Amino acid sequence: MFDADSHELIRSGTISKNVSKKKEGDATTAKGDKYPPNKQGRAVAVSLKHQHLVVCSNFGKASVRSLVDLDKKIISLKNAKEWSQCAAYSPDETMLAIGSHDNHVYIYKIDDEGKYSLYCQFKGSSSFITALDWSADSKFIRTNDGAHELLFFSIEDKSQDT
Amino acid sequence: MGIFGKAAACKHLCAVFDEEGWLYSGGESGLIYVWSDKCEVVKTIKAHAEPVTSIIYSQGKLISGSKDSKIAVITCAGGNFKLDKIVDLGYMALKYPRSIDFFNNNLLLGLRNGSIMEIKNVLDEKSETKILMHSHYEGETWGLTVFENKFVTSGGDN
Repeated sequence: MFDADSHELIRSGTISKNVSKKKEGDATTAKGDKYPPNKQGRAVAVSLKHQHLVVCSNFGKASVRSLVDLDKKIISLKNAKEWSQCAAYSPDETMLAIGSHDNHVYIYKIDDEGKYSLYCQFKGSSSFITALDWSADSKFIRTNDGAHELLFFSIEDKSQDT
Repeated sequence: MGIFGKAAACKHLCAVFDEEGWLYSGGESGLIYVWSDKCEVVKTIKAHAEPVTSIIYSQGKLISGSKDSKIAVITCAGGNFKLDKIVDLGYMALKYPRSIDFFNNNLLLGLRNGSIMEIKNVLDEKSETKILMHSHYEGETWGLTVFENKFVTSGGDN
């Protein structure tokens, strides 16, 4: 975490202390990585309301951390089967969307106590999710995927809009 | 082509000339080799336990950095070498200097772990160390998010 004015490092954390044996996730163009996929960060998102930071690894796992202590794990979200390229909290910070390379978008609901539960999965994309963002009222998301499609999903209906 | 003579041959990672025409090279053996204008090693200086990764000559001082995370400051005058100080950065994986600059008792270091470090008054008893910049240093940087005048990044370096 850096200060945007002075560019000084405020704090840092370790993504994983374990070494994964499986060789999953091939997100990188740089060959000969020294770190296994579970130690390679791929996406980050911050929720100020809950003081949470989520970091997605190249292994498919999303780890929710405390913003005050980046090494303090709150929960691991393991629904994605492949690595996740994008993660974003909704503007009202009640939902977390994670776009994965298994072609699915995972929406998690966050209650007032900061507990996460899988709310729904969007399976409409025919390719890996490359980017996603939320509507200002937190009711819709739109995604880009590897097939160059722009898709819209309704959170309330748990369905694809267009 | 150079002749090592009695000194053990090894690979060299860095080299610098001084004002008198001597060439200093940093070897994988941890030695600093002093080369004459006849391309012969005339002397070796035992400065480090690990390969010497960077070397610079400035203001009569020879400064070398090594994979043992230490920096040696050596005064050279007329073929005599005197070790002034060893600066220990504290061993940490990849925390060793890849580039060094020295001016008016201040050291500027570019470290293998992506940091830029400044050590002021390095030869005095009370030196001041400051890290000017941090960076990711392995793999690629993918994650970036901005909030409250701060930003967070995640990279392939754990």
